[in-house]
Amino acid sequence: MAGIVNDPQVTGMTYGPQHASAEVLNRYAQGSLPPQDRQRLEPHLDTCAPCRAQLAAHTGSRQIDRLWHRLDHALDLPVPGRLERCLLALRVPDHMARVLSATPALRSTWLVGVLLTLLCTALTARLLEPDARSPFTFVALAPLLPALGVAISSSRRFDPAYEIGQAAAPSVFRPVLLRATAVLLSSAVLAALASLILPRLGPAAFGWLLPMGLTTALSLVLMPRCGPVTAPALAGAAWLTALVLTFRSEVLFSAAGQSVLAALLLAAVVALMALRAGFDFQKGIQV
Amino acid sequence: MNPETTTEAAPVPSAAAGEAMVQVTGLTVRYRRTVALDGVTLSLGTGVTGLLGPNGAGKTTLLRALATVLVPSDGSLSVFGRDPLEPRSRQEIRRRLGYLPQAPGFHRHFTAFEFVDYVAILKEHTDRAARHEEVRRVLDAVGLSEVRGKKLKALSGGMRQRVALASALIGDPELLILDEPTVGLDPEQRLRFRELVAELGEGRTVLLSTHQTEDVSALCHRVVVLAAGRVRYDGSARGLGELADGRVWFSPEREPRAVAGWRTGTGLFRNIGAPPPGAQTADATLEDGYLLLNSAAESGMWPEPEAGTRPEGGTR
Repeated sequence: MAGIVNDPQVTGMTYGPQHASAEVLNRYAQGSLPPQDRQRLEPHLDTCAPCRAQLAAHTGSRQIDRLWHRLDHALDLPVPGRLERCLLALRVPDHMARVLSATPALRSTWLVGVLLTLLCTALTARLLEPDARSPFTFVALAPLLPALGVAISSSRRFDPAYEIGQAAAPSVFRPVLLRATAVLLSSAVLAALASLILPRLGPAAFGWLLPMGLTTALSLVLMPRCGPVTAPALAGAAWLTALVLTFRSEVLFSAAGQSVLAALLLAAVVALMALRAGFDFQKGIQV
Repeated sequence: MNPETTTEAAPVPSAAAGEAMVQVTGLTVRYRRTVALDGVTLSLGTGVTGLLGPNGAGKTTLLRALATVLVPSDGSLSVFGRDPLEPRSRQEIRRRLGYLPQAPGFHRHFTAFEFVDYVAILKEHTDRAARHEEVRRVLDAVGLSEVRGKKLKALSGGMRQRVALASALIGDPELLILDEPTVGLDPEQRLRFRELVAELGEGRTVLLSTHQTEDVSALCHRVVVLAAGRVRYDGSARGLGELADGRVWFSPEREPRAVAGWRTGTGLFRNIGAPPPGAQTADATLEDGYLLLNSAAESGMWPEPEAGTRPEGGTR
């Protein structure tokens, strides 16, 4: 190891032949010692009190202060909440995890409520519609839940820090889209779980999936013009209207019907992307 | 004297002289049948400007319009020379302003650090290390370093108010809009707050809405008084106090002619209004001028002192 034990380049050796040189310790203190030398020096430092004492002399008080400062802050950083820890474990970037952990429709109470509602509806369908290919009540309800989640996640009434957030975010599009996507995904996972107890588990039992995306996308498209509560309400009303109009035919859950829903979803996503530059919902705004 | 003409009597000291960061022209905001702001025109330059006015005068509406969270019904608004109605300009304005709303809400399950960090993320500070450094800086500025790891639900109202102020300071904004920031602060915290705002006012534009006339006296080089959605006074803090010169007097009994009066610790009544002949007038303060202006705005009458009153010399 350079600088330790009989190294010919060592100058200013303070200790005996078994100790590190002043130069090496100084370079180590400055952080400029090559990694391979650092790896050999550190075990030596661990067992050699004189070298540790010599190292302390080479470490400036400002460096020590900086180190303590860094350590102090690292220890003081709060432990994230349960939801945030789960998101971080799923490799969600920390800034996104923090925004999502402040989303009302991702709180455990909301998620448990949604799951129970879906399970009850699926159970009811099993009992009352045992022969239905696509249980009406379940597929009618599931797409309304993410729209409701988007409403409570974007509205002043349910977000206590609404006004601070509105003035802080240069563009509200990103946080709104992030929250809506998370609400949609969580609703879809819970609905998929609840679907397992439906009477017939064919593709038609998952007829709620595209409408779920559509009500969410439509809520966002309408939000700048109608506001964060009215927009999801209109999207939900549009879905219920479509269901009522096609009640007897079940055409919405046929291949053709699902294709139309997919096309509408694509159109809504394109419209949303076109709106993103001016996306906002200030009070009184007219886009 | 018409109270609406007081701007001419006490000209604006610096906003007109310096570069206007904010220019408001004929700003009107209507909520259905209610007119919250009625053709407000003013400009703001560097320094701390106080915004005074009774409840319902339109202060919060004006601040919300300036903070780009409310779209005016009529008139024009320019912040940093940009129009907040234009989406890209609005984004640019939001990057450069800090806003402390009236009665700010919080995600109470967050710690102070996490909440300010959350606001920093919304402000698009995505680099973790730099963001955390900035969060520590603003929490330190408001004196909350020691409690940064505590949950907001465990903090006092005054501490939460300081957390909101710290959030407004993220990114070192050029324009700071503070809506009643001293609510819930104890005297020591208010003193610290004054020091902080005075420091922030150097080189920045700070608009401070408050009911605390002491804060305005201590901090503001300029005062705007709103009443019923209109600007009733726009001038120096000293000029607002001077409006009450010769109109403040003491009496042993309550004076029916006073527009405002209260019993002081000495047992005498301190009256504001048109003093009777022979009354010994006292030094007027900014609060006296403000109360007089408000009563005049309500009644439409300006109380002229009667002949024979004896004004006392007046440094304030």
